[in-house]
Amino acid sequence: MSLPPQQVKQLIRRSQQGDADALARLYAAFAPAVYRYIAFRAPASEVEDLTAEVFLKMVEGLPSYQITEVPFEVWLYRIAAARITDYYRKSGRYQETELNEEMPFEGAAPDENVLDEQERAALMRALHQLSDEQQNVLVLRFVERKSHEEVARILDKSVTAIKSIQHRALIQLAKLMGAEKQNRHYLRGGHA
Amino acid sequence: MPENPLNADELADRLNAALPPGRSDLPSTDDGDALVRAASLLAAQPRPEISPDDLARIQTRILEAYRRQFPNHRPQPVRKTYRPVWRWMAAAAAAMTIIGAAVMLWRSAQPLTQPEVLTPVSIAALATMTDAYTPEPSATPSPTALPPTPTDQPATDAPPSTPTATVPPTDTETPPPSPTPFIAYVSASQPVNVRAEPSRQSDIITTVQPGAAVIIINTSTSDDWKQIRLDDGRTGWVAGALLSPNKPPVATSTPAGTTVPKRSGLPDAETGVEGGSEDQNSRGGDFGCEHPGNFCNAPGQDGKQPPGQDKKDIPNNKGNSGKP
Repeated sequence: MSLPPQQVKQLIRRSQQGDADALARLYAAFAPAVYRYIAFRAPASEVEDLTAEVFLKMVEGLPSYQITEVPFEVWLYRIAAARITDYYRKSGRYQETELNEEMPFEGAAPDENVLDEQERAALMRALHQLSDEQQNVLVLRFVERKSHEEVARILDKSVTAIKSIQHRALIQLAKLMGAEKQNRHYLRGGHA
Repeated sequence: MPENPLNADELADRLNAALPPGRSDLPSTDDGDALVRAASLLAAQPRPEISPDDLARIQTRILEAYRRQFPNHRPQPVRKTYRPVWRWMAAAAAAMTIIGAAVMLWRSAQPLTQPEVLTPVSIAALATMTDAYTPEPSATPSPTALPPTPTDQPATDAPPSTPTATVPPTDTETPPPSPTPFIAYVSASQPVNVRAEPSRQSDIITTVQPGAAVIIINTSTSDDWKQIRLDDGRTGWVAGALLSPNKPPVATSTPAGTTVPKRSGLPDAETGVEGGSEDQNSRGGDFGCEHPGNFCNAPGQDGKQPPGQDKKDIPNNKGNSGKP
């Protein structure tokens, strides 16, 4: 659900005055995007809790939130990025992305769907090995379909910096996926 | 499936555009293809959607925390709902007040518009009518031009403003429309003969006393004679030179034999609506300045009421029958 900016501002004002209905409408408007962003950045088991934490932080910060021309979702994405960073700092990152033989590469000869599924799983693992900044850029650019300008505003960087980060992130992602592909090929008994 | 997956060409364009200028570590063709494929894969990933249950569950948690933050909050929308209602009510009340005031003004202005009907237009019409009038000599006077005289109608009510030259009477109580009558006074110092026809050789119907008010209902072609209406309904002719639109300064008594009536519904000199100054004086000009009466120099041409001309000054000769 996409709301016009003026309506968003009105809902924010009402929420700051204690209007629970306005808060619920704000939440319903932005929860899907925040949930999707978190789903790409965090384990599936944590997505709901992290989404809830983002909006709880929003509730806490609403009284001091100042309405500007910067879209409200920028603030929410920043909160989400901070919550994810905090989550990985507490839980320790890259543990789930390490390749091992227990991953879904075993079994019979894979057909096309299984290969696609394996490729997607490898992509997610490779994505999670990137830095926070790189993940944010790639998810916002290619999953949330934000423009360079929007991503720059969300991450508080210049457009040039965002383009540079995106380029390096894609190179890193391709390398990680290529290495994983070679590993999978080796594990299946192929020749490197 | 994603809503708008990026194709490889688009991704390649974006990637090339994203490369900082002058970079020496540009990826090789193979590396470029790998980047495009990585980005394509990322963009083609299924977009996870939050389930309604998750959405509701999270919302419950958020609203609980929100209500803890605003424990004594009264829902804001209620107050905002009432504000426009009060504003609308206030606007409606203001509009009704304005409309009511406008209606009252319009109604109060209604009587003021009636003289407009009676003055310039009706006078001009009367002048035209009286100039073109040709009296029909008749042995038996008939109330041809007497206007309706309802007894319960206020004296300020206007008589018909559209004159009609001659309409045969259908009923003595309800005479047909006629030229707008007006009041004149006998300016002669002696009783004035009222004749059956506008001629000195005509029979004398009766006489009217000096200073008596008469109702002029018509004018002869030569403008020398004025047709008046008697109290008993008959009409007669009086020499125009003996009448004046102004009441003579000396009040006269009303001896028996005079016939000028003061009927209810007669034009009221006091109000000036019918037999008043403006109407009367304007018609006085129609008497012709060649006559030695007071009509030519009638005061009140500017609309002012002539002195001493009010309702109570009209002699009440009702009940006195004139001599035949």
